[in-house]
Amino acid sequence: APGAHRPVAATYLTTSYDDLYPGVEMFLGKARELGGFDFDVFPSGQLLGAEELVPGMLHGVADVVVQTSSYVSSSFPILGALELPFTAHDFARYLRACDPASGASRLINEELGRQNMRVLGGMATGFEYLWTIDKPIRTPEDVRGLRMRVAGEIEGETVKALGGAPVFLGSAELYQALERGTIDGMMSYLGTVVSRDLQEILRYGTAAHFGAYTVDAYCRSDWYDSLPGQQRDALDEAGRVLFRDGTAKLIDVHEHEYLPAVRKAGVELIELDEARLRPFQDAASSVHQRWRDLLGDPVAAQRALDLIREA
Amino acid sequence: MLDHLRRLVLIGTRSLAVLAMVTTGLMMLSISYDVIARYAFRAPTDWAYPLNSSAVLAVTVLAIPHLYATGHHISMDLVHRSLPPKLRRVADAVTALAAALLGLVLAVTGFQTVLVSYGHGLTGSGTFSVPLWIPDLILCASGAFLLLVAVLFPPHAEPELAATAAGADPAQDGANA
Amino acid sequence: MILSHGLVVALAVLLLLVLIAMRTPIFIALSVSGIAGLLCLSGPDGLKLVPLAMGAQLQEYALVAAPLYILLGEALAVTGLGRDLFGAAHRWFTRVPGGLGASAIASSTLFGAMSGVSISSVALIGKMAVPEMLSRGYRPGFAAGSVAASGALAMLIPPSLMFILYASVTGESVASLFAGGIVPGLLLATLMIGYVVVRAKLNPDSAPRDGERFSWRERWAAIGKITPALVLIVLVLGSIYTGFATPTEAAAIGALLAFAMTGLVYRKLGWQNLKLIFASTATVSAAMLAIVGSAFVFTQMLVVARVPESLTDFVVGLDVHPYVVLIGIMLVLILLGCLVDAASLLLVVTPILVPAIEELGFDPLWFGVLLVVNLEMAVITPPVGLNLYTMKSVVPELDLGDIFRGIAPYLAIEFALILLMIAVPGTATYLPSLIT
Ligand code: NA
Ligand code: NA
Repeated sequence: APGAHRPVAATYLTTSYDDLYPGVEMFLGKARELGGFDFDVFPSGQLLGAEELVPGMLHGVADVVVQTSSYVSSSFPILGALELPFTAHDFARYLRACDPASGASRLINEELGRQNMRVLGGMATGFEYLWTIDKPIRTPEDVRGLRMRVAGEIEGETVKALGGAPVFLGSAELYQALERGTIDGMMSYLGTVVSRDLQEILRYGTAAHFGAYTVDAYCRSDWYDSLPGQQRDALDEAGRVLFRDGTAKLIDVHEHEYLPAVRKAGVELIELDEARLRPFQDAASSVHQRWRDLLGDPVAAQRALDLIREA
Repeated sequence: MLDHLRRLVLIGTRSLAVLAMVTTGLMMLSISYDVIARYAFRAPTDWAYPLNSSAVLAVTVLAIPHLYATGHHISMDLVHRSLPPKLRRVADAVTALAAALLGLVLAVTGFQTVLVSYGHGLTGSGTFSVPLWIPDLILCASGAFLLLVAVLFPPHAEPELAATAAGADPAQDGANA
Repeated sequence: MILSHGLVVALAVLLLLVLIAMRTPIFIALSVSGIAGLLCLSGPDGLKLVPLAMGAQLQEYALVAAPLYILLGEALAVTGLGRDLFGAAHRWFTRVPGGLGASAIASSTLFGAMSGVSISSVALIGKMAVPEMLSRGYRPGFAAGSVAASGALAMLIPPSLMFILYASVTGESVASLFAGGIVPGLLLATLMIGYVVVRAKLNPDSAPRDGERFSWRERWAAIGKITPALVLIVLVLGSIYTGFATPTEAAAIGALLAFAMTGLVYRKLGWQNLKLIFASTATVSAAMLAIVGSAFVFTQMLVVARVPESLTDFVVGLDVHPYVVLIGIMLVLILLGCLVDAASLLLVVTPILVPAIEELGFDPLWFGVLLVVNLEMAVITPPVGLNLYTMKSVVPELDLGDIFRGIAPYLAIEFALILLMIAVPGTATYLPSLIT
């Protein structure tokens, strides 16, 4: 609405996210190039903050928003399928499930369509780590009693399932909360740590498939359906670019900048072998059940999980 | 008849304002409890954060119509005071109109927001999530009441009634100490 | 779109000023001019932003601390704290020239560490101090100026509502901002007391000395009376800086302790006072936060009109030294501060200025503290200066003209502090750097 006749694109991401913002620009660039979209772009949460992006889009304040899936998966639980812990065995398989052309993604769009939502494509931000200060996490018992900062519902349920207490906290207070022991650690992807310089305080990071989220481009289904075919194709192609090239850029930044920065700061990164992973998988299986209950559609839930595991 | 209606509306706005006061007390208690739970049981709540975020909205928005009806909002009267009586009445009418416009916009757009939030089942993003239609409904209701008081209580139309309905004056802090 | 963005913004600002002049409540003036602007920029659909903007801003978690700090201050106020603070300061400053003025400033400083809002401070201290000074032959302007100006210290000395608001808009840490306000706040208090003393020494007519003497026993007894409140401040601020609690949690626990103290130590927590505490908390918080929500409607209109980008581009494109730009911004803020109240000014300019400030290479935390020192001026500059009118409403026999003349020297002191903070940024950033 703000630009009268120009489509409005909004995101809470700022240009300072070196790993995420390039993907946003690739997405918008491709949509402009192929579909002639003359986007009125509002980055940095200027028009709609992180909590209002999707509500604002459903109201028609914005037409396309780029948003982290974990912010909206409480309202659109089917999105949680790709956030659940220990679904795919390796990152490559998980990545194939995230492909907009995959069976899982198509199922997600079918379900979202009932709520007038459509995901065009998204960047996979990598599996989430459990970051701690005092002691490394090697077994689920190590999580017991820890106050862990989380940002979304599935993450929160995972921390609960492992015996910890999820804490919701604004990201601006994160550094001080960790430094003073208000919280004992956090669950997040690599970018959250580096963007707030948390590697200076954190001592350990345990890497496993504790969860994952994507940074997606969403639009309203009715808006999408009202566009001429060529513009719909352009948006779909832009979504594929966001997934393919955006994720590639993100992985590149993580490997060549973020991981070295975290290691250089002295954070010990812990990998778990198959035997050590098993108890975590068992503990986290209750999260899958919790998510099935939230979705309230056992058939769709099973289909989504099967499609991810077979991707 | 008009007086009767005014008293009725005031009962409504006053009830909302009392709800706002109670909410402030609950905020104090729930956050204190959360701190205790964090240290004593190592088990912070997952509801204190989302509930208190929405509570600020409730505390503010629920009290707005009553503060308007009783003349307790922050305003500047330096220019107004020096106007001739005729212009002063014009200024008051403009204020009443502006208040009514805000009330109308909030009521209507707030209602549309309730429909979207409720229809899509939108909620916050934590393990304890407040459905978004609740804060939206509070905004909408407050807008409707503001529209009512804007029409029924033009600025300084009934100073004696406003005085009986007034809550505590912020400038009276500690007056009975 | 018939009107250009620039014209729409100019008309919306004009409408805002006209409504404020007509005594429209400020929150209505802000939202209605925002609504009018949105209508012109994007038609009726643009109004969908109104409930979204208001709802979003008022559900920022950083704001949770605001009503709680107000509650804390109100719970302490019913104990007669204002009288006790002033009484204690008076007993200690009695031998100093302009002693009552210095006492008023000292008690405002102490109360500022318990309250986040400047009008409570002016009302509470002004009611005790100004009649006392007038009865002893102080010039009205001298008496009123010391209270109206020092009452604003509550915004700079933590806890501070203004820092909470700044944090809610920028995402800066509340604890860091609180720490940043301590040195400038104490510095300003010292400068104000220094001014009062020198002025009374040079011009004894403005503040005649009385021969009143107090024994050391009386002095310590007066300190004893305010000790529980002082302990409470230390607990609240201490729990923030030791990391025991976040600023929000410290506010909640501090308010609970204030209730306990009022009930158990001062025995003042009857049903009447309980009602009074909650009624004034609701009045002060809602009146303030209504402006917060509405200011966001207004600034979202500015965002839709692309004002922040235009301003950043303009400022960055200027071919002058960043400090020149900064001084220019300060002067504009002082001018705006004459016309708009403190909360609205902060809430409207922060989203517009902070991107530009960061682009120029300045620290947004430091700028936040600088901005609040600006607000110290805004609340005492006519025609729109909330502390001046609070002063007048608390002591109605004062003449507004006298009050205006009385605060003029404090404006000079505050501007000097701004220049000092620009020259030595450490005044605002050193303490925050210790806690992170
Ligand atoms: Na303060
Ligand atoms: Na002013």
